[in-house]
Amino acid sequence: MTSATQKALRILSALLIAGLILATFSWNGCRSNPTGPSGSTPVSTTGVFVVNEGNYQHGNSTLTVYLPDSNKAYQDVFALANGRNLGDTGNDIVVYNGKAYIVVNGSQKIEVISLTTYKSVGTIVFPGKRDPYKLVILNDAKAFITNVSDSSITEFNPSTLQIVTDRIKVGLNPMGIAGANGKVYICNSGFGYDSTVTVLNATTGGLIKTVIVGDSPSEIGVTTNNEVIVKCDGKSDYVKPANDTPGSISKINADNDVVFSKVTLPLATYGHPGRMTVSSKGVGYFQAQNGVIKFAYTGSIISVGGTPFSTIIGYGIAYDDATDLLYVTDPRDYIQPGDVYIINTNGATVRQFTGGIIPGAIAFKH
Amino acid sequence: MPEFVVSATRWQVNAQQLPSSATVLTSVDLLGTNGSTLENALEGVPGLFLKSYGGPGAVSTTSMRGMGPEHTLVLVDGERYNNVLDGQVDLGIFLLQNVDRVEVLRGGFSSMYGADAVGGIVNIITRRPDGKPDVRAELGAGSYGMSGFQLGTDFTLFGVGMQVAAKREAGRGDYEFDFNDGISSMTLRRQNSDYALRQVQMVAGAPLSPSLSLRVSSMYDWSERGSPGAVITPTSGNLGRLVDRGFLNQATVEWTATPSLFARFPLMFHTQRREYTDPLAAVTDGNNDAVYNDRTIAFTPHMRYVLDPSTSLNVGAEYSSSSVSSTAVLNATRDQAGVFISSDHVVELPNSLFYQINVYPSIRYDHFSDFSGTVNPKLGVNLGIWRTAGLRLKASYGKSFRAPTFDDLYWKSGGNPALKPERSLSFDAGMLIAPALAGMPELEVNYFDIRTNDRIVWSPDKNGLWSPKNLQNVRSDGFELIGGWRLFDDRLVLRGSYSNFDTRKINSTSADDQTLDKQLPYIPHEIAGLSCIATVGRFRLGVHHTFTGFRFATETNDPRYVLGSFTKTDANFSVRLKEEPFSADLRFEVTNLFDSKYELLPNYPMPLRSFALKILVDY
Repeated sequence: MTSATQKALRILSALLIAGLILATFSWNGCRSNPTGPSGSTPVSTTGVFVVNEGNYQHGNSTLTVYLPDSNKAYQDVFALANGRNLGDTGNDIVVYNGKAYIVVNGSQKIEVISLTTYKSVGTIVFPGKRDPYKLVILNDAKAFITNVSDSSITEFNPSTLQIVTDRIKVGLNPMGIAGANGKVYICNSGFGYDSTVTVLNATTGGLIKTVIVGDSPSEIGVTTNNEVIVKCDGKSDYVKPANDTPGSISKINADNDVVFSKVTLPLATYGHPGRMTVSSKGVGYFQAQNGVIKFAYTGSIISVGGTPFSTIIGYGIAYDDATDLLYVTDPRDYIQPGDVYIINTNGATVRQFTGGIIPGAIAFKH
Repeated sequence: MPEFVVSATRWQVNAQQLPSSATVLTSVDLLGTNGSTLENALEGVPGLFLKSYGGPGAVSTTSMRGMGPEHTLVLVDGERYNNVLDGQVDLGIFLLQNVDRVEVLRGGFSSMYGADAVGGIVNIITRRPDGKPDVRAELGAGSYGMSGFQLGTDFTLFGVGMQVAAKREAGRGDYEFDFNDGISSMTLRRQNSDYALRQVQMVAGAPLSPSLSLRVSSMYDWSERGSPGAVITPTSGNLGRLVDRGFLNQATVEWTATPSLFARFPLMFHTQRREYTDPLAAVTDGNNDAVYNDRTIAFTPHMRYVLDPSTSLNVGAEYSSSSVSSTAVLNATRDQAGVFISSDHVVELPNSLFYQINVYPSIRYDHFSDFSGTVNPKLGVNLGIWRTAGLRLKASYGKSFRAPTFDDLYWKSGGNPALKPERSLSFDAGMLIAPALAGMPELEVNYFDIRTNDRIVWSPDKNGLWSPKNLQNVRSDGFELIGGWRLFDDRLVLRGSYSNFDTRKINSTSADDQTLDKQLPYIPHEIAGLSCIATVGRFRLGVHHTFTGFRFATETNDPRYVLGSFTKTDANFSVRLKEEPFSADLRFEVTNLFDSKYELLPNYPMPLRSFALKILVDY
């Protein structure tokens, strides 16, 4: 190689390296950061609210609003209306007095939004980690929420959004909560290691009774006759499945807090039952391993269907008394937007719309 | 470009003649980086992306060429180090001391090392005792309560060369970070992120005869640290604690049977224990602690026979037995046996343009007691084109695989014993320009394409029970541009690289699959790095600048949930205070010089600017 060639190579190399240095320090990649899509919030006085859990600790929980009249689903309504994300793992939603109360479990908070503008009207941020889970609103001044990781519930004022009494101890890992006859009923799931319902005086917060129902009570509903229906998952033993115990449905008399009816759900038929909803028509529905199971409750009799009411194997479930339609969510693979199926009283799917990642809790605005 | 590499064939080969792309971090390079762990050392290596859950001591894993942490095989002195439970190595607690070099080879290497060498391999090669008496000490302190020391000595005892070394680093780790959840914006401090890392090493080496030598090493490490969790709210905080213990023992007999026949007989015993305690864990059976114990014993005899100056034959076998006992994983044992054979041919061509061709065929068979066996061949070629310019073309094509881990197979609540190994086909091709002239820059460009089938993915069933399945097919392709320039007798060393990854799921796993053809979450499309080490008299300055492109946080590549791109610059400055009779250096490190705010995983903020001051003495 001649010296001229060497010199040319050196100069070329120097230019390359110098260019590399400058480029690296001043450069921000060939691809710019993506930005979120724009969209619109619905304009309507009625609708179906679906809280999508999102992925745990990713902070990507969202709110879908479905308008039955136009058969259109609006995605990520909370973020569009408020300019910020809903938070991490939305678990519950309750519509009350012109507002929606959304429990955001991982974010340790309740977001309260207007039902007309979807804008936030307040936020209750709970101190520390307790994982708020399900809530019940009894009246304008009294509401309770379960803290699943803290084995406690918290009383708050749904109008002022102030915490009234924090961390009232109940049983292990409380999940479902309901109010009836001036009392609060809390399902102590213990994730299989508790089997009780705590009954508290709604006014004083004092313990009235601890009612034994079945292994891992998780879901609760109140009938039009002021009876409390509790669904238990049964205990799961993944190492020794032979030790699994079956789920059950119990009815508690809200006058004396006694279980006056109970039906066991055989594992072979139903597996460990999932979420439950109770209608005002004397029937309820729960998720099972082979689809949605319908059950009827009359007096002391609970009759559970042996074959699925619908073969959709879903996750969230809610019955809309106003339209007599059942809403069932299917999270697909839990990493992409799931579906919501609308089922009529005959068990036929009449409509379907897409939600967000892991659609779960549902509420209705009429 | 390093002069030689030992990891590609288990024997020393000329690095320029390799069919694969390699980066070697020498002891000098390691001194030029901030921090003290393997994570710190690997930052900026081309084709390699690090995922960390926080600052020093936090869990940290690596991804090579867009693959997962369980697709990178980490070796210590050529012996497998990956944890058999999850197939990974926590780089954040791997203290580096007495390391001679770290070799990073990109591409599939199952034809040589068996399972998990899909994206590439990282081989940590420790320093051999040379019998020369030596005492080393290091004392350091820094931001957020960081303090550390290192003591080491070399000596000879009854004719046996010995090394004894101990290192400790600890800190509160309560670094500041910005928090904004849309409701409130504030500066917070990381909680429960303290850490204490300890490591003790002993190495002994001695000739047994003129043709036989023995080397025995033990490394015991113990770490305790907080597991602060994701920052979701200003007050959210995990109280989980992690305690890890590892005990690695290696004994190797090297035998030079004849001038053309060499053999090694390495025996390894490795045991690890991890305890995770979380007082807030919602477990109610009276025990919320998770304990994982695993142990592996392996014997890997291998030999090299030099047939003639241009051809060598490498033959070896590996037997290992691993077992696990845990509160979360079923007790299980795995026996593995493998045989491998490879050769390297150097053919000098009577042509001034194409002057040399190197061919590297290799094949390995592995049998496992708990899942099906696998055969993995590979062919690599390196062609010398223009000797003066040091221009070489290289390519390789082969199969690799990842073994299902003990977690995958035997996790108590969802493990799937029916899993089969992931299989991959990898192709890479590249060009190297490494002029023989001093002061000339070296340039390398590589293209790679790794296609993985039956990738193991944990997903929930309809009852919400998570379990692993052979679900995904993934294609990861991209390219690397690598440059290096040594000037003024190595007093100025510049290195730069750009790596591009396109890592996508290429099969549908559900109807109307919205994750199809989407970039895998947390894998950037591009990373780049530039480092400069300058030595002037007693002074030495190192600057390392990295760029990491944005990463999607969801499988659907939702643009609303993206980890933004960021740059990070580290710098260190050292001065030699004394040369004789002992050397003393004062070293000042600044990490994240320009206060970049970034996350490598969602809601796990990384530290802002931090400082460290160290004194190093060598007698």
